[in-house]
Order: sequence, then structure tokens, then C-alpha cells
Amino acid sequence: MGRFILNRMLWVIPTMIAISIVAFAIITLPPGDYVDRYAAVLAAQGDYMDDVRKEQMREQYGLDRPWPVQYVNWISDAVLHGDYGWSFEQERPVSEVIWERLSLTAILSLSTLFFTWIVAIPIGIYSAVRKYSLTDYLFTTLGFVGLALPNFLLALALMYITYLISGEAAGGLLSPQYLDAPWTLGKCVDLLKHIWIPILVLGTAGTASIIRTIRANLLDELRKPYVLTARAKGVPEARALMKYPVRHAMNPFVSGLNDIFVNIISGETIVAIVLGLQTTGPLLYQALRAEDSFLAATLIMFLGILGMIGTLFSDILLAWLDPRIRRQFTRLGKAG
Amino acid sequence: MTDTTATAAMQPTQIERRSQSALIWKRFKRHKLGLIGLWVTLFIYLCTLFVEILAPQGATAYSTKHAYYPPQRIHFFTENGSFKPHVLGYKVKFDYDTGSRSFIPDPRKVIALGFWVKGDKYKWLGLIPGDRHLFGPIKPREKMFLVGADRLGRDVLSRTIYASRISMTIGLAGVALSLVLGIAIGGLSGYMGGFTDQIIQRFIEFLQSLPSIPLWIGLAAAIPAETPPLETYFLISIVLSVLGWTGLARVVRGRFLALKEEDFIRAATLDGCSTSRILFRHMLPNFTSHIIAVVTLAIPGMILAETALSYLGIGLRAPVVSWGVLLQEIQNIRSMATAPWLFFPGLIVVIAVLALNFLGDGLRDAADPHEH
Amino acid sequence: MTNLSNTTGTMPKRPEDNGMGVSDNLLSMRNLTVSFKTDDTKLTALNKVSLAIPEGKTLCLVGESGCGKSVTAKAILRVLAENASIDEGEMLFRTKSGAMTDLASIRDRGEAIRKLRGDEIAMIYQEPMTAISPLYSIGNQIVEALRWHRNMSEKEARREALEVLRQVGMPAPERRIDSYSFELSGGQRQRAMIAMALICRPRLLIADEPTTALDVTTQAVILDLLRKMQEQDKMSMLFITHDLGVVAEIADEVAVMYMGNVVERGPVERILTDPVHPYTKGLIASLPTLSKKAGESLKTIPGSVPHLKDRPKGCAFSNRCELFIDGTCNQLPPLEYGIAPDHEAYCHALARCDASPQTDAAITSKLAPRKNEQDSSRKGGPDYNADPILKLRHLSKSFTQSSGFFSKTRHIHSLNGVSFDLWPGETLGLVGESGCGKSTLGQTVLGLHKPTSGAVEVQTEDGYVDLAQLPRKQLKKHWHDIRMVFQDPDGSFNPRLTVFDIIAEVLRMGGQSLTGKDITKRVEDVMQMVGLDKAFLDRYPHAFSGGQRQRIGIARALAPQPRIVIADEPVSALDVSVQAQVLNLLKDLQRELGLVYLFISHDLSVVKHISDRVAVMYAGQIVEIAPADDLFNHPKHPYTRALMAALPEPIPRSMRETKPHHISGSVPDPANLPKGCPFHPRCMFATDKCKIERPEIDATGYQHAVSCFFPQLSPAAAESDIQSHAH
Repeated sequence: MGRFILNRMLWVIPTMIAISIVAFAIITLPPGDYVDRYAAVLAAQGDYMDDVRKEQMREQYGLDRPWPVQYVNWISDAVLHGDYGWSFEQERPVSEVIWERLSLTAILSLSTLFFTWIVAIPIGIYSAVRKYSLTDYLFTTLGFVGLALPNFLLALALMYITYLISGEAAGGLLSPQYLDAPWTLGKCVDLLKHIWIPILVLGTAGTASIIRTIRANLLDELRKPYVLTARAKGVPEARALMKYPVRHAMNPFVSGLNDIFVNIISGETIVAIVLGLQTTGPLLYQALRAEDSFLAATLIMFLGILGMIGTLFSDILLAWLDPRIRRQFTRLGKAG
Repeated sequence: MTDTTATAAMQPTQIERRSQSALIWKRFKRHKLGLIGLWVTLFIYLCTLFVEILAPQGATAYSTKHAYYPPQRIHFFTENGSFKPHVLGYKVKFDYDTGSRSFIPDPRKVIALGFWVKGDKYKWLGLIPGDRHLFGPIKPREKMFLVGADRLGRDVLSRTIYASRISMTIGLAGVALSLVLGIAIGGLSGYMGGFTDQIIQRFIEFLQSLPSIPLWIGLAAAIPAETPPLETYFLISIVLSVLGWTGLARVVRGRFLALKEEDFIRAATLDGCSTSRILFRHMLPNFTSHIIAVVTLAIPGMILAETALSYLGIGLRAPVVSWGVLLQEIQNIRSMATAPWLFFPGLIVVIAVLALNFLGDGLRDAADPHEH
Repeated sequence: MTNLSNTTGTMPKRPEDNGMGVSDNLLSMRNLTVSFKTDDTKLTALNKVSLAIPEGKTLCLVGESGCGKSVTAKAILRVLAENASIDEGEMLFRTKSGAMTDLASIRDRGEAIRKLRGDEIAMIYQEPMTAISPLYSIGNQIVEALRWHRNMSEKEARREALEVLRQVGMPAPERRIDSYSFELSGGQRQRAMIAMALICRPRLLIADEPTTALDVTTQAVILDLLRKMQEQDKMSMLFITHDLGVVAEIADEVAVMYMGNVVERGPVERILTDPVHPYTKGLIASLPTLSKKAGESLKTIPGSVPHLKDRPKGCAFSNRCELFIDGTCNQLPPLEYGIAPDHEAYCHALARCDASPQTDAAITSKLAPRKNEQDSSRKGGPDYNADPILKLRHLSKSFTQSSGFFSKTRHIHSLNGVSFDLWPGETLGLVGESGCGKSTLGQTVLGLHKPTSGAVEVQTEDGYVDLAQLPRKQLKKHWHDIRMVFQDPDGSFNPRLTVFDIIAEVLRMGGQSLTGKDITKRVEDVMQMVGLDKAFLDRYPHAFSGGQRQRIGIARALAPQPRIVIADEPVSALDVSVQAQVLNLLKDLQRELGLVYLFISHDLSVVKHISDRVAVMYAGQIVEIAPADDLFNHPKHPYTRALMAALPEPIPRSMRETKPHHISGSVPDPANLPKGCPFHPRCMFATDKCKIERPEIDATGYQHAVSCFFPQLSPAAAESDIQSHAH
């Protein structure tokens, strides 16, 4: 097991490097840079920025150099000093802007993941065991619809419904007074009050897909001979169900877990923009539109890393659940 | 021949004649939801061909006095009981206290409806000029809003119909691109095996572990706002396929590896078939059904992504009409509260995506009765 | 049964009578009828089956695929699939307390049956790989039954599990108890499975084809073990198999099943030596065995087992039966016919001729093995004076396998210096257990794998050509000359092509520049040769039965008029009765077309039946090669002897001498072959020399050759030989 984790960890570093390169490459794609845009904004206000000033500004932020050089400078500062560059828009260092947002994103994504588990696993099992029952049809239909609903549309619809019920506009993840405030009990309570709509919105697609995976896997597993073995041994039906097929059906589910987590992070971006959550989504959106390159690159990189951690977690969980993967590495370890 | 073979030469009374495709079709037909999905999908794609004729109004026709006009109900009989399909115009009342308007059906404003009526001029598929519409007010100057109008008094129904052409095909375009990439890279991976395969697999895993929407937003934001609509359309489909090919590549590789080990491929080799004949005659026909299923299941993802990007204003932009662009009209609680019918394009998105998912599921089950 | 009228002179009997009295039966099944609901219809899987399992004895259920053997087993434990239902009948089981329980009438998910399962009635199956969960250690799965049936502490349970593992002969049980199924060899997995079943000391063990997936040497060991355990625990056993040889090894009583009906039932000695039902007779006659004269055509049962939905009216066997009486057999359910108090069959024809003895002679002659006049005058036959048509010289092939960036590459040595010759007109049988490299050999000869070293020289008009040195392009034209027949008739056809396209593909690929008309003619000719109607040429392969598909496979091989056919396990996926048809066809074709066969099989008796010479492979080498008679009468290599000893023959145990010692262990890992003679770890005669030096063999030529330092004639001679060598 230790060997497996070590082996898996070896992949983390190249993956992180690759993520940072992708993130940085994306923000260099648009023609022009922040300086051009800034000049355009000034021009609109009737202020003229000459080429000399532009060059000075570029030099100041290192924007005049080729992008690989910019990348190396940025990443080495990031790794060595925790300095992710300067946010032009916010006129603050990137590192000051992102942490609160990132932690909210992480909290929201993780809570959504747990929410989907708690809801989907029992339903999936129930649907498989009572297949073609009325409840199964109900959940299957709901699952299909859940997968077909675009996140943002669901968010809008929920906003509309809460508006119709309460007459108030729902939105945000924290009340304004708690933004950038230290984490107090009050802030947590406030978070809990707001978090359910985004969880519901983000969790729907994931829940639907988990129900479908578990149901399909379990239906496959129920036909396997070891289920017969267990029943033939006189293990009570419910116990045999949980110990063998359900446990076996968990494997493909766990290996598909990272996809769901990545999808949640991914969907969070858009839902946050629609619902006006104070997470990374709107910040990234704003940064990309304004070509606030360092901020955007840092955010994309951290979202990628969050996704990678999810993948790592699901791989380790899978190895922990499945002796075949575990033993493969111990045996290789002995051989090598 | 000797009598051994003669006695063994059974005369099977009924040796089935059906081909493999016929068997797949037979299995598919048992999948009721899949069949529904098939018909709905076909219907929607058929509609995209005839949007100009189907839509009662032009895509850009506006009328400020009809701003936020609510949906009208079709009445089939007049008050005196004679058959005459019509809708009623609204009387607009201003509430000066709240500043809101209310619409009351006005029995005197009867707008008679008919088939194949004259209306806004169009060029069908951009080629053939015409002004006939399948259905609409008989008098060309009158307007009908079956699902209401937006803030500029544009007909939501007509615009939704127009938008289907862009939204449904951008999914196809994105999937087509992904398919080319997926078959090329997945095929390479499966064919080469060994180190190349390992590298490609790691790369795919890496791409799949990235959150797609932030990347899509990043890539889409790189498309300058002033890019012409057609170019944006293709750029967006490229953006979608940049991440979309990975799933297809995996399927292609998996099928490829599985087929490579089949005895009938060995038999074909021994029959003297060239590599290309093995690929195109023996391998490809045996995984087309899988590919069709996977492709069908990939289209909805693309449609949803386009809708989301366009909604955010970084995908397709007006004057292009796509479902995402239409949904941009709902930007805040106010617009929702005033005109909930603006959700209508969203409903159509859900129906289209559902239909494609049902179809894809049915196809997958039919192509592979043993796998899920 | 009771509702069947009895027109014969014998007494009607209930199965539990069996001449032994009611009290001797642990389980009596009467008129059990089980059906499956499918999408369109309801299929009857068991049709009024009546059986009795005597206390402390073994009842064998035997029959071909789809005859309802497994359904019977599952019905007893009430673990049938969800769409199955018991429509009729009873299964009286005498529990430990002595009370009779009708297993057919209790709830299948209820407590009553659960308490019996695993405690009083246990079950083992064919595929221990899938029957044991890979997610829990085998120890965990063994003690499970104890947990639910006995009140036992974890420590006690583990001690018990170790004890039972020791009893089933699991090597190093202390270590294996914490292993997972995927870490065990096939034989060890089956031992684990048996341990799991025996932990509560059940009174009835149901064994569903428990040795079918195993190699023959392992099968022999497992059969020994099961018999030993049964005697030791005084257990009753319901043993299910399709293999009459296994029946002979293990059975006391036999019930022969066909399409969900019991057609004949009786003691093993009677069923195997004096069967009466035409189906049983046919099955036994169609089986190639070591004791049957080689070269003789096998008697066959025409046709193949129909699908359940096509069950013939009246007697299910009527459409394949030689004694078929029109208007009776295809109308009425078959009648019971008693031969002896404990031996009975269900057949109209038998019942009728019992009434009128004069027809008996006619029946006997009908059922006698078919005489084949051409046997003695085989066209050609092997011609050892000519030059060999194919010469293999020191052929080796190893594969490299790597499973990832960080894992070590493994070299799998599949073939290690194989040499032999193939003469015109002969059949060389290549026999060996799984993983011995016999299939790789076939494929390497054809050039599907590039050999690591060695030569494959084929005789052509311009002298010998080494296929191993030829590039793909030039290899192709030799592929018309050497053709292959594959094992799995399911996987060897492109499901998208019609039979015509499948057979014609090789002709279209040129080399012989044929016109469309020529191709059509040729395809129709080979179809006729293999005994199929050309009307089926436009059908797709999925529509045919296994035997018919194998005929299509043979037709495809013959299309370009080859000289050599490599047949890789061509009959192992087929039912016994169909297997005989295909073997006869192959022999007939050889005689007519003067073909040379390289016949690859794991089944010694099939190889003996069809081959002129036989080569035995072990760990990628030929260990012994000789003319068939010579090899089977005077085997020299200890491995050949072990294979022969392990092969179950359909002769009841009581009627033959007990077979000698069985070898233990399993085939070595081709990535990690032992030093010296690869067989030495399993060889009872191995000396220090065998552990260091690899014995050589000159397998070219047609004389008897063996790769052993101490080639034996008898074990006794061997021992003295070794002793004299040691001194």
C-alpha cells in the first residue's frame, strides 16, 4: 500500500508541472495583453497612453518577454516564494486575492461530493435490487433529467423558484459582512444558510450519473458467480448483497469518482457566476475577460490541482478497496 | 461425400437470415426510450433544416410595442361558435404605482391564424428566397407570440426554432472534430501499443483530470469579440473538441485492442488481407455501432457546453441565435419575474439533450448487449 | 412420472426406491419442473425430473450443454435466477434431525433454506476464479459459512479453516489462508472452493463441473480429493459433468439428461458398459477414448442439441434418434422402461421392442458402430519415404510484457527450441496442458508471430523455403498452402460478413487470380465438402450451431486448396456428439484430399483418435514424440505417463485397475522456467542432474524420441535405473 502511494505520488510532480503549463499557455492565447486593454480603457476615458509608457508598463510586469520565460519566472516565484504575480485588475498581489475564494470553492466542491454520495449510493443500490419497480423507474427518469439539465439553467430555475416562494433574490455563498472576514462560528452558520442551493445545483448531475453507474454496475455484479457462492453458503440475502455485489460495484464507482469531482469543480465555475457566489468562478471569469493574466493562470492552475488531488484521492481509495491493485505493487516491489 | 457428413449435414429448418445490423436494430427496437429518443432527435434535426419556414417570424424581427408580450393561447372557435383559429391581442395596462405593466387579453383584437401564410421574408438555407411560413397570422402585419416575446418584442418561439440550427449542429461539428481526433489518436494508441500507447494514455488521463469549464472559458475568452459569427462558430466547436476527443479516443483504443486479439482478425490476416483491408473491412464495421453510440452520447455534452459558454457571453454572441444566446435574456431575477417564458429555450435544450441521451443509451445497449 | 402409463412388464418404481428402500435416500426429487420466463416466451428447462441421491453415495448428472444439469443443482439450493420458477414437483431432503423438508415448497429467500445452505447442502462450481470474490482473502470467505451456521469465535473459526485447508491439500495453508483468489493457481483455487464448501461438513455436496476448467493432471488430483473427502465425511454428492470419463472416476449412480429430461438412470457400471437409451449409447459411442482403436470412425448422433425453444414434441430426443417411430415418438412423452430394478430408461422404441423381442435384433444392429470400409484402404496415408513437407528447426519464441512505466519487463518464453518434421499424408497430434505453448507454436509456424530464432522450412517447388525469414508480403502466398482452423467457432468469424464472404475472402485476396465465377464455384464446392447446404451461403455465422460453425471454419481453411492444415483445438468448444461429427469430417477430408494435419489439442484421447504421430509439449518444448501407437503403448517420458494416467476413461473404477500415481504441482510460469529439465519439480524420478542440465531431444525424423535422462518403460525400471546411476 505504501509503495502504491509512493508510486502514485511520483506522478504528482509531472502532473502539476503540466497543469501549470496548460494554465499559463491558455492565458497567453488571446491576442494583445492587459496593457493593450488598459490602454483601450484609458482611451475610452479620453486619456492617451503612448507606446513608451506601454513598453514601460510591460517591462515592469515582465510582459515584454517571450511566454516561456514569463512562465519560468512566474512558476519559480510561485514555488519558491509563494508569489503568484500581480493582479492588474485588483491591484493586489494574486496571493492576497485567491485563498479565500479557493477555500470556498474547495468547501463547496467537497460538500457537493459528499451530498451526491449520500443521496446517490442508497438510491443506486435500491434501484438495482428493485429493478423495474415503480421507484426504480422514477429515479431512472429523474436521473436522465438531472443529466440533461444544464447547471446554470437549474441555478436560474432555483433562483426563480425561491424568488416566487420567498420574494427574495437568493444568491451568494456568504452575506457581504462575512466576506474576507476570519472564520468565526457566525460565518460558518451563514455559509450553511447559503450553501444548499449551489450544492443542489452542482450535485444534481453528479447524483444522476452516480445512480446510473451504481445501478448498472450492481446489476452486472448481481449476476456474478460469487454472489451465488455467498448465497449457497447460507449468508443471509441482505448481508450477501452488501458484502459482495455492492462492494464489487463500488470499484468502478470509485474509479469514476475523480470524473465526478472534476465535473463538480468544473460546473462550480459556471454556477458561481450565475448565482454570484464568492468562489473562484466569477473571479476567473472577470480575470479572463480583463486579461488579468497572472490571476487567471493561477486560478486555472489551482483548479487543475484541486482536480488532480481528487484523482489522487480516488486512486488511493481504489487501491485501499481492491487488493488486486494493492498486491500488484507489493509483488512488483518484491520482484524489483 | 461419405455418409458421415451426409448424416451430419443437418437441414436446419430455420437458419436465421438477418445480418448483424439487423440484429442490432432488433435489439434497439426493444429499447422503448431509445426509440422515442430516435424519433425526437430526428424531428429536431429535421426542423433545423426548415427553420425559416417553421418559424412564424424572422429571427431578428422586433417590435418594441410587443416587449415582454406574454404567451398567447390559440382559440379554435369564435365567440359565436364558428371554426376560426385565432389568438387574441393584449390590452396593456400600466400600473403607475409599481411601474409594472399588465397584459389583458382583448376579445376585440382577433388575430386570425392559418397555414402557409405570408410573413417575414427569408432566404431558405441562405439560398432560396421566400416569405411563406408554415403557420402564422393570416395578415402579414399582425403578430403572434405563442410563447411570448423578449424585451425587444422578438418572438421567443421563432428565435428558439432558429437557434436550434446553430445549437444542434455545433454539437455535431464539435463531435465530428473530436471523432477525427479520437479515431486518429485512439487508433494510433491501440495500433502502436507499447510506449506510444502508454504516453498517449497518460496524456488522456491528464486531460481528463482537468476541470473542463474553466479551460473552456479560458479558451473561449481567447476568441476576440469582433470575430465574425461563422468563424466564432468554428472556433467554439474547436474549443469544445480540444477536450472532447479524449473519451472517444479511449473507446476507439479499447475496441481496437479487443478486436486485435479476435480470432477472426487473425483469420483475415491469414486470408492474405492487407492492413488497410483488415482495418476497413474487418475491424471498422465491427466497432461502428459502438462509435455511433459514443458519438451520440457525446453530442449532448457539447450542446450543454455551448449553451453555457454562450450564456456567459463568451461563446456565440448576438446577432447569432443559439439557445445559449437566447437564455442570456434571463440575466437577473427581474427578467425572470417579468417574463418566465424566457426559460422556453432552456426547456427545448433539456428535451434535445434527453432525446440524444436516450438514443445513445439505446444504441449502446443494442451494440453491446453484454456490457453496460 | 406417476402420471405416465406403464406398458412394459416391469414394475413402476419411484426414484427413491432404487432397489435400496426409501430410507437410504438423502434427497428425492420427483417430477421437478422448472421454467424460465424470457422476453417472448416461457422455456421449460427441467421437465418432470425425478432423481434420488442415496446417502453417502455419488450421483452423477451427465449430459451435453443445455440439458439442465446446472439448473437441477441450483434448484436444489433454491438459488435459481430471478426469471426462473419451480412449476411442479417436490424435493424431499432429510435434514440432520431426520425430518423431511420439501425444498421445492419453501421460500427461496426464506430462513429455512438459508439454514440448510452451506451447512447441510454445499456447492462448488466450474470457475473458481469467478466464484470466489477477489476482494476478500480466501480465509475470510471460508469462515463465512461457520459464522452464519455455528456460534464460533473468530479464532476458533480460523483454526477450523486452517484444518479444512490442510485436509483439501492446500500447500502452506498458514500462508494461503490470507491470500486472495488471484494469487492462487487454478488447482489451489479449486481447493479453496472445496474448503469453503466443506467447512461446515455438509451432508450433501453439489459439484457443478468442478474440474472442467482445470488441466487434466490437476483434474485427476481434484477428483481424488473429492472422492477422499466424500468417503471420509460419509457425504452424499451430486456431481455434474459432461465428461463420461469423469463419471467413471467418481460416480456410484448416473442420471443421463437431455434437454431437461432424465433419459436414463442406473448404477455407473451399467450405464457405461450396458446403456440402453439411444442417446446414452450415442454419447458413449461418439467418445474417442484411449482404449478405442485409433483410426476408426466414431459413431455420431446426428444434428445437435436444439435450443430449448425448439424442443421437439413428444420425446425431446426424437429428432436425432435412430429408433425414431413416427407418430409415437414425436407425439407422446416417452415411456418408462425398466431394465433392472435399479436401471431404467425413458423411450418408446425400447418399451415397444421389449414387448416384441423380434425387433430387438434390428435395433442392436442399428446401434452398432458404423463400419468404415475405407478404413483399411486409406488413400495415401503417411508417406515416410518422401521428404518432409514441413520442417521445424529449433523454433523459439519469447514475448516481452510490460505493464507500465515503473514495472519490470517480463520475458515469456513460450517456445524453447521446437523441432519436428511433418510428412505428406500424416496427422501430427500436438498435445499439452494450457500454457505449454502449443497454440503459440501453431501461430508461429504460420508467421503470425515472428520467431525469436529457428526456422520453419516448407517444401515448395523450388526446394525448402524458410518462412521465418520471409517478409509479410512473401509469406502471404504460403498462407494459401498452410491454413488454420481455429478453436472458438464464435470468435473466428467476422460477424458482419455472410458465410459466402467469409469463405471467399481468401480467394478474393488473390494469389490464384480467380474470376468471380470461379470463386462462387469453389465456395460452393467446399461447402458441399464439409456437408453444408450451399443455400446457407447468404446467412451470417451467428445463425449456425457450434458444430455447423466449425464446419464453416473448415470450409474456409480448405478454400484455397491447401496442403497443410493447422487445427488449433478445433473440437474443444463442441459437445461430445458434435465433436465426433467434426472429427470424422476431418478424417474423411484428409483421406479425400490428401491433407497434412497439425492437430493441436489438450485432449489425449482426441489426439490419439486422429493422429498418426503424437508430440507431447511441456513448457514450450517437445518432451516426447512418437508414432501414436508407440507413444500410447510405450510412453517413455514421465510427463507423458502422468498425462495418460490422469486422463479419465469411461470405464467404471470397479472394472479396471486403479490408475497409478498422479503428479502434483502445476505447469511452470513461462516467464520463470526452472533450471535444468523444466519438468523436474513435478517429476518423481528427478535427480540432481535433472535440476542442472536440460535434456536434449532430437524430435526430427519419425522415430520415437524423448527428452529425458531416464526414459522409462515402467516406474520400477526407472527406480532401479536411477539407483544404478546414483552409484
